Amino acid sequence: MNNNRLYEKIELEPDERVITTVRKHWFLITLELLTIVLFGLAPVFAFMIVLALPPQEIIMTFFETQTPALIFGIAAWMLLSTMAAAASWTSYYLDLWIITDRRIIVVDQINFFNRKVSHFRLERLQDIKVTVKGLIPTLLNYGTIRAQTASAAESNFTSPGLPDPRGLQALIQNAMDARLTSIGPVSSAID
Amino acid sequence: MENQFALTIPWKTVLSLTFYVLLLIYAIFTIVLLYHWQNYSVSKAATTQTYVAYFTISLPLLGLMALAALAL
Repeated sequence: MNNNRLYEKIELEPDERVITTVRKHWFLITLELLTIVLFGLAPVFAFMIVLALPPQEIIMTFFETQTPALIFGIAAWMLLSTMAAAASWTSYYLDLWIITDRRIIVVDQINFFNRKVSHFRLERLQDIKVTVKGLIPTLLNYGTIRAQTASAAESNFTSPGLPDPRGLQALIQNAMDARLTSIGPVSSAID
Repeated sequence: MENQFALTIPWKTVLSLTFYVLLLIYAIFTIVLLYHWQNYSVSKAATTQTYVAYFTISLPLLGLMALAALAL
């Protein structure tokens, strides 16, 4: 991760240090892209099945007379699939958690026209819950993190599909403890 | 009953029109995609790799569509 580039995009406070950046688990995007690729290749598979069947005159005539339309249709289908894959990849890559020594910045890229950037100060965090539910999440170690803050405006936030959620929970907990120690118990109580 | 006012559009015209519509959709989508990566990406390398992959796959497909719709 090139942190200089990160600082250009997300304004950090003076002396604020990025501890880690987290994206959703690789399995989720792999599954999504694989599904899109299979859909994209569906006309090719269909074409191969038709060719494998005993030749029928009506199909052969259609292939011979409508070759440009067939090529166009398959290419258009694959182009739309490529665009769907690009949209999925963009949502995955631009969806980001940045944990600094002062706050958690959650960038939620839901789709192209739905982007939410939230900041949660570590000293305001009250509770962090981790849920790992299901066979695949357990085996691949990814799950949901729910955090509750003291502020009413940003009462809690949830992010599913994060890798190593327990490790992340411990990391946030340590950062939170360090932050509370650095600002002192009196100021933390006031905040 | 036979439709006396049936409109027959040649395949070639349908393909050409569909191609131009898809080209417009592709152009708008690509502008939005580039805007997002240019403005929100935090890694220059990832941005470049995404551009390369996207255009390497999409441009030949677009060329093939143009060939099928306009030339063949």
